Amino acid sequence: MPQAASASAEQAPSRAANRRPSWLAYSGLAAAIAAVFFLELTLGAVSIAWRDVLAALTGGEASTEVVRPIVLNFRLPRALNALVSGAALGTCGLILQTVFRNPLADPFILGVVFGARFGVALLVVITGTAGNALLFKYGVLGDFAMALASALGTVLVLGLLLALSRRVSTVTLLVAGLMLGYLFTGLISVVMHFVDESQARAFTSWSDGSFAGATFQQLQILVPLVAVGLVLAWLQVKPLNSLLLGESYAQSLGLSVERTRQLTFLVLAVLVGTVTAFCGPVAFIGIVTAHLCRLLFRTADHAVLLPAVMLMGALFALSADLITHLPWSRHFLHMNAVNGLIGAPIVLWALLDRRHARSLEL
Amino acid sequence: MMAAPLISSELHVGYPLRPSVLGPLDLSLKAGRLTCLLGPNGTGKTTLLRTLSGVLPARGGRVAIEGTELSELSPRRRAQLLAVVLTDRVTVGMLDVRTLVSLGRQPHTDWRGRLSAADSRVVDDAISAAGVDDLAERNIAELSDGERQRVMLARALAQEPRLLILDEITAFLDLPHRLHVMRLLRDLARRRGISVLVSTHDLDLALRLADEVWLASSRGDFHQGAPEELVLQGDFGRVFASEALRFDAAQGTFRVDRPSGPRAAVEGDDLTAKWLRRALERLGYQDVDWTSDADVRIARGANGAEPYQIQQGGRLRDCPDIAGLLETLRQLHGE
Repeated sequence: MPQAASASAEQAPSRAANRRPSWLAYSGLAAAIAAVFFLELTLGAVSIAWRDVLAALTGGEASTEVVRPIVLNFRLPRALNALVSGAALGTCGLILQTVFRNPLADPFILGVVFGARFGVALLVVITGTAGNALLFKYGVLGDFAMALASALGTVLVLGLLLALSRRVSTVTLLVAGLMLGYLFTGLISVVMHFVDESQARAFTSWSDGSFAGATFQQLQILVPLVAVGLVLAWLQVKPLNSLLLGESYAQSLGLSVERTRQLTFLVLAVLVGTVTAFCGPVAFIGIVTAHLCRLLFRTADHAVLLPAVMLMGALFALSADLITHLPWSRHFLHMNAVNGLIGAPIVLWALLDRRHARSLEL
Repeated sequence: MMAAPLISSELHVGYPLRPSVLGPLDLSLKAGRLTCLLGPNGTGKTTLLRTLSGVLPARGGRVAIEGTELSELSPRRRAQLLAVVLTDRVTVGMLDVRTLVSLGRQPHTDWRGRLSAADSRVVDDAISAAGVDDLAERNIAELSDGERQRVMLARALAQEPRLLILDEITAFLDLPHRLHVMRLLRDLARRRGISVLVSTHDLDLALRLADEVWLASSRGDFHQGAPEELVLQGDFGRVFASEALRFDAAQGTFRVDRPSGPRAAVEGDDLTAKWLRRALERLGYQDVDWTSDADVRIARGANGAEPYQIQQGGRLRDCPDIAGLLETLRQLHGE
């Protein structure tokens, strides 16, 4: 007992100090996001002076004419995409972890993004066999259909995971998710067999996650849909908190578990679906973000964590994207490689850490 | 007069697509009383509790809470009337005790679950009522099983329910903590005028502290009444009777087995005699009266001699302590 008493006495002040850091931490994250966002616009194959970037953004006079299209047509959409998609994926990581009561859940790890990709692949095949590539032929409608197909694929995998999660333990669910990922990757290959080569190439070119590919037109769909998804997620703060105690307790607190599940799956479908439709399968942002935020804010309360994962997700995505196109890198890194370099150790740490392991019931 | 906290009629409980486990049950809980649900494993105690708390639909019959049919209550209203403590383990990282207890306010708070000053006071009260003040800032992952159970009790109290249902709350606790929790529940029932229903395997505590006992047997029959009544009617004996165990109504406790060995008579002051008899029972001796025909007699030794004395077939043996006494007996009757 004396040991426990001294331990809690040691921790008490730090916890008390950590009780209200939220606004400070939020502002810090926001400032970091602004800084990295600006770096995204200045750094790249060509470095652009910050004055020229500002001029391009504000419509002022730039020192050279080439600068404006590079900033506005390439780097700005890319940075916006990373900002919005990162916020979306961070949110999805936290929600998945709560809904499946699994601290290692992540849209990539559980194979959800591959379900989304499968949805898009099916759509490309179904519409593509008739004629030209859907993406070019149908314009906005085509992009929107892609997001929808991707969302449906997301729901498919979520349903499979839900059925599995009733039968298996925390870690087994992870393995099951991994297998679902392989299964859907295989299915995508099979489906791609039926489309002509140029389409297949267009598809495989974003089988790796990247924020560079999205067009302005796609951003016009991505940004509003993600905004809707994030607002819907924020409305789920209270149900998500009660789900921390497990479904039986949540129900005893007056929660309609079925309705909450439908709503959270809708949120996940909108967020994972749209992001994956336009950026491909982006790895690890969800899990890394959720763990970093829990460590930073030292709470499980979604009222604090949801804004935190949105900010942290955006920061992480922007930083990872920045690393992939640093001017001094001779070969550019794939984004999932960068995410893996940061994400995999965090997952390993979570598996090996004793306190974590106990909460995983390993 | 207010409607009874809980009434059931013709209630059948069980899981879907399987035969019902218990029923028909006509049950009632009264305000301010502690009721203990007892019974061997596998008699459907948990199933009954889950049904009464609305987590599991009834297989038939009716349950009403404060006069309203359980199935007609909105989930939120039900959560305002009824709180539960389950055996489910809560495993979340970075969740501190106060935040967890605050979740008990959910049936009373707005869509975001924000706590008013009044809500915070209720949370503080619940924390001190459950005796977990010193754990309030701790992380639940650091707590022992017993501490967790008390924290979950605090969370249930934060709901300010009229009816509190607890499944095996004392399962992980040592004897002093079991006693503490059961007395706490009884006092809560009295002080707050709520009715408390708790399932437990702790017969001794239940007999001492419960106002009423519900007794489920493995044969499917169900008894309810004051604990003493159930003892005197022999229901306890019947429900828990087995080859190895019998209920001793005179003592209010269980005996491990029915001795059938040699007859032993014991003499001594009440306390010494009592414990000597228990030791002899363990070796399989039948307890007989001093004046009757006994195979062996045990008595306190005379002043100055060894403390214990065995008389057998006219021979006297002195023993320095009970261990020595038992060793001698084992040799005598060839174990």
